Amino acid sequence: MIQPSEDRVFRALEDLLSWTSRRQQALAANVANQDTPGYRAKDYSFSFKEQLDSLTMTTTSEKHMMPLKDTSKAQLYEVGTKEKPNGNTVDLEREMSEITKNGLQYITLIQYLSQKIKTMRYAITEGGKG
Amino acid sequence: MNLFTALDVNSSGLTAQRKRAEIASSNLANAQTTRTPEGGPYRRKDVIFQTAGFADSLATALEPGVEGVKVSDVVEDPRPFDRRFEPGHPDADADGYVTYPNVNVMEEMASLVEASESYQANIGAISILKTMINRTLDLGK
Repeated sequence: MIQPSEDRVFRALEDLLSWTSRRQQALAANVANQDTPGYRAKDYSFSFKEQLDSLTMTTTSEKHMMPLKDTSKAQLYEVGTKEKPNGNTVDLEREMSEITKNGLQYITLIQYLSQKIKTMRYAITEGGKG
Repeated sequence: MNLFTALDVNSSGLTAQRKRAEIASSNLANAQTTRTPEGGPYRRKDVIFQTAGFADSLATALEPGVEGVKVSDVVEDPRPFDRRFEPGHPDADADGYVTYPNVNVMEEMASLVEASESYQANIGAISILKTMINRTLDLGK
């Protein structure tokens, strides 16, 4: 039987995946606008690590649920990087490294989710007998 | 889907940078052009970048505050033309001076290099996005 906590993990993973892909949009916009005069680099104020920690933390009781933050409430904020003479604040090196990081985080989540699905399928097929 | 929208944002960057490279190439090619259909020498052109949303159905998928980029305008450079003393030139004026375009080759080369680097950054972002999308498609396999 699927434990309620398993269901919660699925929902949290879905939420995190959606947030990571939204963040990729903001980072993509920063790269696209690296030469647009007056453009301010933007990012989401939300910690991937915090969310993942609260998701993977071992709980010894059903009552020990760690509250997950609502990722849909993550706000766009202006990244405080140095302004260029044309008023643009995109730091390309920062953006490229964030894009790489965000991409890897996304793949990590996919891998995790994939493993969960595999485990479930294994159970469904009676441990491989079916 | 969010990832596809990010792909569109980066491709808007590609289009804008390519246009910029095209204009810089045109400036370089015409650095010595003394005759144009409008009369007079060639005048240097420049692109204006502007943030842009998407006008089509994708607009709904774009997160608020997230914008692509477009070349909103191609403007002419108002700087004065270059006058050189070449009495033998067919376009020389009464004093023997020929009016050459206001194109600075070094400036155009710098602009081309910059456009190419920006283009590559967008390509890099797109290739990461492609990996993300492909992994999603393999989910559960």
